[in-house]
Amino acid sequence: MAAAPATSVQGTARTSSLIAIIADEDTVTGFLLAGVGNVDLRRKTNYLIVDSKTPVKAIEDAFKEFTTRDDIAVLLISQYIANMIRFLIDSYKKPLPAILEIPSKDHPYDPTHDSILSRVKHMFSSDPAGPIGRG
Amino acid sequence: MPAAGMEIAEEKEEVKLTTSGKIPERSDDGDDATLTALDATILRCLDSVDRLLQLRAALSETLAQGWMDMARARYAMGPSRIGQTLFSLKPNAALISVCVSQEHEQVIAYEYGEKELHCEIDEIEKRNHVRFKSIAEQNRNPKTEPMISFGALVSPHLRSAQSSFQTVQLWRTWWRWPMLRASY
Repeated sequence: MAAAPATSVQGTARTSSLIAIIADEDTVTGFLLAGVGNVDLRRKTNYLIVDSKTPVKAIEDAFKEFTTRDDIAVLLISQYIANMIRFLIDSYKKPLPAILEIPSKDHPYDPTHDSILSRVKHMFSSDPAGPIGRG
Repeated sequence: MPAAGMEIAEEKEEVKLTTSGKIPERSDDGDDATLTALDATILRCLDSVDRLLQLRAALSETLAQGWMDMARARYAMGPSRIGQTLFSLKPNAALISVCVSQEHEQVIAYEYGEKELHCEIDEIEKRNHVRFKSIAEQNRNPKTEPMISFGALVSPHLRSAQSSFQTVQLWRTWWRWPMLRASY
């Protein structure tokens, strides 16, 4: 699905890639309204709707699929869903696709789970142990 | 609000530099110069983090507005008119895509439909002194207006919700945040 690279005059190649979403129904609906949704010829989508009946295994599988596809550059995931698979996200180190945690309708954004903010907090704290549970 | 979002890249780059743990080399002038440099670095870091938190709050506000409009639309149109049962599974290309620099492995620009966001390309070109050609249309799947899935006559609240979520997408530099995280 990714476009073939277009080469610049100075040789910098770039590809056109998709944005994937793992979130609740309203958030996914909103981003699909914005034009993010993509369905390929095999009816594979670039989004996963998570509700109360969605097993954690399905979320893990979707995360692994979206992070291994070469046509996805950004993955939006609700923070409360990210907390369900926190071990997977913390062990994810690749720059692409980029993982971005967003708030959800029922779960406001929690800065204590933000990796960079927790590092900054550790930098200015007197606790030598470092941020708990976050890399 | 898109203007506020466009400042995120500089702020996050600042956070990256100042939280990477790098300490300026000791100058020949001694400890005073080093301490002064450290103080300046810390102040820049704190300013960047403060700005980052402000932008995060603005993002949450935009999303909240979108959810509120969607709830109003669902009330006006009926709960069965807005939901995942209406999502089309026909092959359909995304209207929004991001451009990724293969050389630097980072998101560099947006494409919305057939239109490239030239303002962003211009900024990147000025900053990095590179020139980009237009991306040829490679995805052959049809691109359809997403609103069509919800019927011909939709509530204005649904269009307002669409606008809110599109505003979130326009925060192109927002994508640099995960790059920053990965750099650790």
